[in-house]
Amino acid sequence: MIEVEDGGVSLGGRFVFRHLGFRLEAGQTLALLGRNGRGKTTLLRALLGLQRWAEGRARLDGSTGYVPQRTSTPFDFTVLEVVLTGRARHLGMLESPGVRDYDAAREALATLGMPDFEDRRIEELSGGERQLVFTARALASACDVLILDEPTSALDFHNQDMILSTLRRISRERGLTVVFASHYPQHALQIADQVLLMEGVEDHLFGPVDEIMTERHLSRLYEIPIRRVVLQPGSAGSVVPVFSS
Amino acid sequence: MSVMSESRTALPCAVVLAMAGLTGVAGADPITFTDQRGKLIELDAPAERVIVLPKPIPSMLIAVDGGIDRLIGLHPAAQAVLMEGLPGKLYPGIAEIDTSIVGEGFIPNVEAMLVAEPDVVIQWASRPEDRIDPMERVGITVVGFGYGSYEIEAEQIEIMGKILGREDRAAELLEWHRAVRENIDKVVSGIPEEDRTTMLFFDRFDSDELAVFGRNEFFFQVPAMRNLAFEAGLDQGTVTIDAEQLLKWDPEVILLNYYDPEADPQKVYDDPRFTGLQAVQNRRVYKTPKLDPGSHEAPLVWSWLATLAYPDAFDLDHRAEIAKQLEDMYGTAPDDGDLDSILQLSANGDSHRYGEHFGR
Amino acid sequence: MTRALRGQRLFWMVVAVVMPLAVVGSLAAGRYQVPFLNVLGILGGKMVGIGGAFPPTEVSVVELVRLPRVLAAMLAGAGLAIAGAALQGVFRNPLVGPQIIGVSSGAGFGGALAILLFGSAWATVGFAFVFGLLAILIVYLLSRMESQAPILLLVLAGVVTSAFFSALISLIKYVADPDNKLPAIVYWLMGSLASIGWVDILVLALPVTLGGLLIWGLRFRINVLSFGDEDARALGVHVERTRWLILVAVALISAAVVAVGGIIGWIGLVIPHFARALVGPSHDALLPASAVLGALYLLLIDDIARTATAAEIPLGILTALIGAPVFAFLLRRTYLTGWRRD
Repeated sequence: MIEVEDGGVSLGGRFVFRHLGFRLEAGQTLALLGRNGRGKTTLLRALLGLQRWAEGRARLDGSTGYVPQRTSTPFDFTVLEVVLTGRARHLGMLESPGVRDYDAAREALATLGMPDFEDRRIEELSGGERQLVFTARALASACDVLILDEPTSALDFHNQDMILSTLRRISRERGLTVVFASHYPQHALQIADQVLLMEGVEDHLFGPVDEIMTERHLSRLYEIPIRRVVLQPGSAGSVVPVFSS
Repeated sequence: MSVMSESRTALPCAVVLAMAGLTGVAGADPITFTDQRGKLIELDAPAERVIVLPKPIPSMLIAVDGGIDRLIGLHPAAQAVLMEGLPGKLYPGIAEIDTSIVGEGFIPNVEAMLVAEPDVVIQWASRPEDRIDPMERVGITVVGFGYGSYEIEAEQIEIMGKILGREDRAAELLEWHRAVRENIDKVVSGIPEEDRTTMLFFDRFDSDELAVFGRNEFFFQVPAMRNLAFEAGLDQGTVTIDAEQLLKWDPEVILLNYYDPEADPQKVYDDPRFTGLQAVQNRRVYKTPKLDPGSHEAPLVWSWLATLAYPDAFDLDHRAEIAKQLEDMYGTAPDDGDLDSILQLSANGDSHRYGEHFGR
Repeated sequence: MTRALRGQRLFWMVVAVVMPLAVVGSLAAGRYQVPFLNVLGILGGKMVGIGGAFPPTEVSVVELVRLPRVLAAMLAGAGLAIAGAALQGVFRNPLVGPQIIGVSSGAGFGGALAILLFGSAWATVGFAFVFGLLAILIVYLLSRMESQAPILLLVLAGVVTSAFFSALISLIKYVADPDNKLPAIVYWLMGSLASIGWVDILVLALPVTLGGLLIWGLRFRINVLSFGDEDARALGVHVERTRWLILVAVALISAAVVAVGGIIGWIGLVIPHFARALVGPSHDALLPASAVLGALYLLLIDDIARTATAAEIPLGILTALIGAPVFAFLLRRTYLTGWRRD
């Protein structure tokens, strides 16, 4: 369970956001939507404990796993070596991964449908595959809450679909709580239970997907007209921005 | 060309003239000679105020002049060395002589020089643009000294005699050099090359570094010693070698420079690495005496080395000779304690036939 | 078996053959002629505890001159390479090494100061260690920006720190007694193992082993840290504490090497690259491989230093002559293949 009450974070003396509150039950998926600079990443980092709360109260039950928007190492590790680093919290300062950790890492890779990838080098992988590897790393840490920062940025449609469907699947299979930030309202529609719209420093809208993801709310959020259309009966529908030119 | 009349400032000139008048040599012929950078130097009279910057030269001045009265400035390092040795004991006044006239790298402090009002400054001839030109620009007479061979050093004694008006004493010293050389040569010239004593001269011999003299110094040549480092093709002054190279060369005699405070034959004898060396087995490791082999004192070192190299061929009274010569040079004869210290009797006492030749 | 493991196995098989050859070859090489069979006999006799009938000088050459020196070269080479690999890992930057990071000049200054003031081996080690650590602390503080240490800032901070300590070294040289202390300092700074004895081996072995074991224990943490501070923190790692442990270990190793052998540059910078190309970047494989390659490399360099001419060639000169061009090449290649993203 994640609960934030009257939360605020300030950077360099100015609030990125404040008076923010929401409550997410275990096993639910939360999408953060908002324009650039509204504090999505800051909120994720605050939930992870990488950023100090300036005010308010926050509670997060269980351990977290983080898939940053972009992460890099100058070294061309193998996929297995990368996933193993997810086991760090279970190992003492001078400990190295043992059989249990290798099993956890391999299982995480298998869960994400990449059991044959362990020997590949990360530099050889596509952007989507790399994103999956870092998701596997978070899973290998046996986290209760998975936090992803724009997991689909810079990915093509196919890879976006792959990541989203994988997230939904593992969330259900493992009862995992998922929080992700995205620039695609469509993704929230696709897999989220709850949505948090971050409009201004003190303006936030939180609630179930169906209630929040209205054309009015989204148009106000992105400051351009946005339509929701149902192209295929039974689907969640599509979010279509109406660009000004 | 007269350096003096050409560029001298008025004040020192007046002082010199006044002094010259007092000592009654005003009408004497000017002194001319060529210094060791090839410049013709002309002095109206023997110098009364001399500053010496090269480190080994102040003791030469004392030896030629028989005192320190005309030495008005010297290098601080030279002052320290003199104070530690016999000259400092005989002339405590050395401690009072001005050292502010020179900085790092023998760069003169020209303003301090002007205050000191020297008649002549003796300076190294190399790097004249930094070391000499600044003084000559303000009208100071500079005599350039070179280094690197015995001929140069012998000529310096001669020049020193001219500067001080003590050519008689300089000639006496050089004649003594010649005579000692001749006596040694009589004995060693007949020794064929392959029978000559091999040696290595260590500038540093301690736990961190073994550094040998690579050049074939004149003071090795006079007593007919073969410097194995030089024969192996080394030619720099000091060269670092490793223990194995020393074992390979295996010289008959090992000499340790007295400048190295850690030098001690006993350490060489005790070092397990070197037990196989013939110099160790025959106990022919010696610390050199506190005498400068590259100066007017050189003949004392030649005799010392020749005796070590060929202990059966020489039977000289070293102690008497050293006492006499040092008395001639510095005015007072060293006592037995001084001689023991100069000859490193405590360090070398256990070495081969050392006490026999050099003991009391 | 994974591909990475296959590469590592091949590497260790080659090492298992090359290493003994290199050691025996180094023990057999030298200015003093010792027949090869006698070298083997002396070593073998030593091992099984029987003294053979060999000329005593040959025995002392092998046992008292070459053996300590071979050991020292290998210890120093291994230590420097491990230290370099660890630094490159925690600074997430393949272009750092003990020298770039200023720890060598810092340790060099400490050692020179100790020679000037005391002249005892233990003081040299102690001072080299304290000032090596101080240098690394300065670089670390200078290059930190918002808890990151970007490549450019890091290299610049290293340059600044090195320059500062080099100036202090010059100052020491300036005030040192030119007849006695100065040659000792100059010679020591240029790097040499020429006069290594068994005591020096102890001075070297203790800190290098200690630092090396500490770094080896932290091998997995270095992998984690190479993803960056924030990532590592999100993975539940105490970033600062781990990094400090590594820095202390690096300072310990570098200082011991500097104290015994002077400033031997470039090994920590260059060797880990070759090791990485052979066994991959993961530090559980990289650290031992770097250690072995560093040991082999310095052994070879030291063999050249002591056998090429009658005079010793300072090690610092040889390693720089080889290391600097290699570094330039790596810098260029690294830039072109996009490690720029830091």
